[in-house]
Amino acid sequence: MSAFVPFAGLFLLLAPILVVFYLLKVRRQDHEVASTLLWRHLTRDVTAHEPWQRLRWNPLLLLQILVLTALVAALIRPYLRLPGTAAGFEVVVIDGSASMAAADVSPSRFDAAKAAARSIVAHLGAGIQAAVIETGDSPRTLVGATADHGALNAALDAAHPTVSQTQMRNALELALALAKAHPGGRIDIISDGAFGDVSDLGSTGVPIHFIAIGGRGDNQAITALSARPDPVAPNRYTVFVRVDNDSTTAAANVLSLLADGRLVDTKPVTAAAGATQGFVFDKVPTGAQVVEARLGGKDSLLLDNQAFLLLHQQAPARVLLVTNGNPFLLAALRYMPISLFQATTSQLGLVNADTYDVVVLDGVVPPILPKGNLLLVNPPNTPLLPSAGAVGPLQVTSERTDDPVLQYVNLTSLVVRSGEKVTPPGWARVLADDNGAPLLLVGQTQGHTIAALPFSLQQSNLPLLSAFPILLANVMDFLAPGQTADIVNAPSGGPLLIQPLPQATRIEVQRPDHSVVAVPMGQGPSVAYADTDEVGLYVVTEKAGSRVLFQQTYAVNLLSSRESDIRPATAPSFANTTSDANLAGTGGPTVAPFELWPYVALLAALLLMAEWWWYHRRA
Amino acid sequence: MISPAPLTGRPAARPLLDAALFRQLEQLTLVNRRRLATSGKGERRSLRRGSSLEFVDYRQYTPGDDLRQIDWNVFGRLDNLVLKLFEDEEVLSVHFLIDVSRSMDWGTPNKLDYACQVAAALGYVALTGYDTVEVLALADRAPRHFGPARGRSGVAGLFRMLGELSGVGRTDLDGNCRLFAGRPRPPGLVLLFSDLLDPTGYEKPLSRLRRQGHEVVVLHHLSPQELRPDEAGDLRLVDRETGESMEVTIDQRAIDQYLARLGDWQRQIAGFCRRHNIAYHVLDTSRPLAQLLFRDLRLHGVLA
Repeated sequence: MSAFVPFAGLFLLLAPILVVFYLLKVRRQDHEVASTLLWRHLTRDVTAHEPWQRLRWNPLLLLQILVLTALVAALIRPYLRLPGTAAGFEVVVIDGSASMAAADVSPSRFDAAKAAARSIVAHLGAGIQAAVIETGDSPRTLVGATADHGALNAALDAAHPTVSQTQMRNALELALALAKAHPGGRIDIISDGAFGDVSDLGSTGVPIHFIAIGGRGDNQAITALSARPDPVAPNRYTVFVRVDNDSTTAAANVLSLLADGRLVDTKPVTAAAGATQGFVFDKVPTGAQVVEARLGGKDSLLLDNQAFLLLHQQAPARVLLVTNGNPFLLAALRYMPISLFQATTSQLGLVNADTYDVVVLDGVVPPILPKGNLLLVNPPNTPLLPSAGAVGPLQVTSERTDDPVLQYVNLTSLVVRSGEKVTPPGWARVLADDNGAPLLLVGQTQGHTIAALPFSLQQSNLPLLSAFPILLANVMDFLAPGQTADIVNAPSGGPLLIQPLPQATRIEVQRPDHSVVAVPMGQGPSVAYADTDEVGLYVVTEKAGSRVLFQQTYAVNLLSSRESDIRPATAPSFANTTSDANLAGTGGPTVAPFELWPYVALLAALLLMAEWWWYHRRA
Repeated sequence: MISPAPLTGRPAARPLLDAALFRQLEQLTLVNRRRLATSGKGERRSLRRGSSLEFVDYRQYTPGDDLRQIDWNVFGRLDNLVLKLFEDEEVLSVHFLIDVSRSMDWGTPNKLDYACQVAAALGYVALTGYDTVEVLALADRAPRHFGPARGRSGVAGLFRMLGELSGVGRTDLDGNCRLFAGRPRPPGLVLLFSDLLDPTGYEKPLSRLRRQGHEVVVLHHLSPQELRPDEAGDLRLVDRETGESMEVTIDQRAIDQYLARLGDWQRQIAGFCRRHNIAYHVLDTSRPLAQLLFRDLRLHGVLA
């Protein structure tokens, strides 16, 4: 047995003081009697306060010393070491990304992770609180701090993997915030390790325990699927498919392409171990709406064996470029499949900017923003994007390459001679920056989807980089999804953002398994549907009563090389590592303190009651 | 609880006895359980043969006897000279030994006050019965003395003396009794008014009185506060006689122990008195005087 606060034992020094109270002469009231002759023999039995005499036996003194001892024993917080979790607070981060659906561990990695989490919960000490966070493309707190094992297990039972990449950084930051808020906080990451580098979060002082899930899994995966319209016949598409062989052996598989459910073509896959192979299909029928790439055979992860692509036949997006002359912007936008319009800053008040899907504002931000989505280039200092002044030269020191906006974009050679040091507002997320000075921001605010390049293109080498047109294409796809890009892509694992028509009263989503769920209508301009936990086509139908107003199909694909690579990954360098097999062993991960102070305090209360009873019994 | 009533000091001077009691007291007589050989002619029967009208016995005539006492009727019938004996009537000496130590001057009602009232009543009975009354106040200083007196003429002096008694000094039963015994007196009735709270004990003085041939009656005065104490808490008990103090924590257990001790003490005194042919009576000073005189003391054979 040990104690958390052993120094509290110094309070036992009060015991001699208690004894001194019994030795001290108390102030007594004089009472005259005829003679003390008959009282003398009583003094030996009932006088307890004769000053400075040998301490006589007194049950009250004994009880009071026992009460003091029990109180001090409670104060030092004694505990027993019992099998369980040593932490005072446990944060369990369970990886719910697509790779956790791999079946190299029976029945799946995610089920093994849930079993490991249940083992942690089962070994929690009495009264020890825990929280469970599931991480996919965003962290999700399954259950907050609670010592209720039933609630924790129920949350784990309800957890399911998503079709998304692991954003472990966000989850770990949330877990750290929770762990730091409680004394003795500890974090357990249960994952297959398929996440980026988060080593910079390891020096926070919070113990992090990494529980590795997964074995040696072989997997071939479709990691890219895109289509490009034929320059001559825009209704004809050329489809590009990339297959990764994340196996230890060479792939021997067949890749099929289906258009609207009919087989178009098949190609053999012969990629070596760890190699990537690209395929181009140019026999897609004219007018096809949906193409599907499908890998034959079965491997450890089935999610990435098929991918869907929507070939939108919609009218190109209407884009208004407001600039006083920017040939780079104009040239790049002109070659994009959009309807481009141009105006100068002085003409901005004369045109109806609200009718455009996207407004590109170069060096200007009007007081009243147009209704459409915005691309801000070199914006002035405004409350929308406050600036702390000019700064430069700038180079990209960190970038979020996993964001769709930076897909296929390499900004490492970007140099900005002078730009605005923008203070990132709350609505924006920084995709590229130079030591905190943002170079690319995206986000949503006031009903607008906004992308911002806070520097003048003429003050940088960006227009000269090959990444520039790709970045603009990605930005346009971000600002007008499905309308602008020649590479038609679909959301990957994340929530479907639905912008319902004003007259819509009901939104229904038909899932890939053809089940239909109703999405609650919110008060905001958009509605999110997050249960995209299956790969396939999601059909969103907006209704007014029983009348169908609008129907939109979304394709949900994994298309992530990182998630498809289910080979054993190394644990974060800062974390202690164990395997799920250890968790199944005896005693769990460690031993937990079982605090005894509540019982000792109860004993003190009982002793106090006994002392009270004894005192009044004598009186 | 501490009794709010003052336990010490006698109340303001007031008549020792109510006037209504005197007529009733004249009906009573002090009882001496044994015939005492006393001197002087009185109204009590003597062990000696005397000249009263009460016939006792016959005896043979011997030369020198008073010829007036020969029963001539017997001589006429039996031709034998016998003397007719009559009981002699003597005077009874009644001695009141009153403990006037400070311990007696305590309690509500005051023990000394009560003792003086009882002594006045019994003295009145004795004086009106033509007994000789003598009062000795027992104190550690020069004892006050009254008597001997006889007849109603002594009542005023007796009452005056009793009315002037107050508690002084410590109890010294043995010294006072030795002083009392040092003066030659005919055996008489000795009534001791005391609380017997004498650290030197009560055995020697009582034995000394018995050896003098006195009939001894101990009237043990105890106040209600001594018989039924109701103090409680942490107290410093101050001895009224010695001024010594002792600290006690009085609770029910202590009270019980005190009462047990008091009971043992009373039983020891009663046993001693029984063995020495001494009458012993406990007087609760809260007992109304009339009930004590006309009921309790008659019941105990002190008065008749």
